[in-house]
Amino acid sequence: MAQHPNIVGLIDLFENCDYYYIILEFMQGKDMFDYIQIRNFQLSEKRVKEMAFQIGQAIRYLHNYGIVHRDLKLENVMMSDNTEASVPKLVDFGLAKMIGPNEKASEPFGTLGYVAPEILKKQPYSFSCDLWSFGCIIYALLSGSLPFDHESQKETIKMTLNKKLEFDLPCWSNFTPECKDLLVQLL
Amino acid sequence: MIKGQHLNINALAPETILINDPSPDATPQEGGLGSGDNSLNMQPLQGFGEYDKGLDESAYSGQLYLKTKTERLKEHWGTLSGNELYFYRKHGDTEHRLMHILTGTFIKEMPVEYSETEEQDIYPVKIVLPPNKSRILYFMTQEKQAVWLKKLREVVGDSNMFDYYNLEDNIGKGQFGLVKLATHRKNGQKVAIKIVNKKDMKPIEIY
Repeated sequence: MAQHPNIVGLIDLFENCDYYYIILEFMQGKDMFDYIQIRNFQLSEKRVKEMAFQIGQAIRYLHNYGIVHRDLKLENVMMSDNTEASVPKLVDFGLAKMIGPNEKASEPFGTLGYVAPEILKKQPYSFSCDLWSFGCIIYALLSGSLPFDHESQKETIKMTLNKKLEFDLPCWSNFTPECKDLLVQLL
Repeated sequence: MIKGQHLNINALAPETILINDPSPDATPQEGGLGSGDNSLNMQPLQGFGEYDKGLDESAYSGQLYLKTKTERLKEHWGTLSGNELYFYRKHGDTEHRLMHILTGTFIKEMPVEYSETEEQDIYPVKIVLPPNKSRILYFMTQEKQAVWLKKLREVVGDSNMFDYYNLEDNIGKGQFGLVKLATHRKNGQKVAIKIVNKKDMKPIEIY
């Protein structure tokens, strides 16, 4: 099974006739959304870089095994504790799927606001859908808001499909062009 | 009825582990005692095709009840041999009426119920073969239910998660169900347990 310091570890598995019991590593911290909310959505670029690097490693590890997560979002990254040195770990592989290098998936899964446009267009998609979501996570970590987000679901879909990435919030002036460039490449 | 009250005690034959059974009516066919070689540790599959020559040495037998279509309880003699469960009409029969292979089944303790026909509480144990087959065995006492549960679970290889972990507070709700905090009963390790109801899963997602 997948064992990576940035993926929540599977310890054991039980089942009886009605339930599966999945025994997982216990995380003292909450999810990443709560983690940044407690910090008023203000994280330094250095700290975001640190966490993004770790999440990125976990994603690369999964993709090397042929696993697409398909539901990467702040709520599906757990923090090992509440300190500044807290380590992010991916959880919730409920939508994950194994696909071959040349295979495509087509099931319309994901969470609005994080989901890649090819999935919304109901086109066949592959590992890159996780990278889109990864971009959304980094964007949210830096700015405290999602790049494509609107009160109405319809608008969110429209924005994901058509809207050009914007760095319009005042906070973006604090961040380096390199990180914006990374986001432009991911999204 | 409360635990330990044996209403029908005279009707119940003593439960026996066949190999230790000193009673003369345990025939060689049934107990496999006559076949001699004690060093032969018969595995279920090796014994295949030899049902009538002898059962597994550790075979466990006892009286149990099955329900008829008309909800009446019918007495049977059950023998658990390896991973096979045989039902005989009565103790001593050489031809079994029914047989189940327990591999891949789940053993479930069911709540006590009251039988109108027997006029007493009965203790059911359900054998579930996914996705939709099951058979319920009934016992007249809680003790028998407990012994059979243990024996059946040993065969199926069921280990009960609750024997290992002490469940505590809810800590979250995931895509597929509740997540609870738990502590390992022996080493005190804290873990998160995700509880997924099989009913919520579509067949395509299980493979």
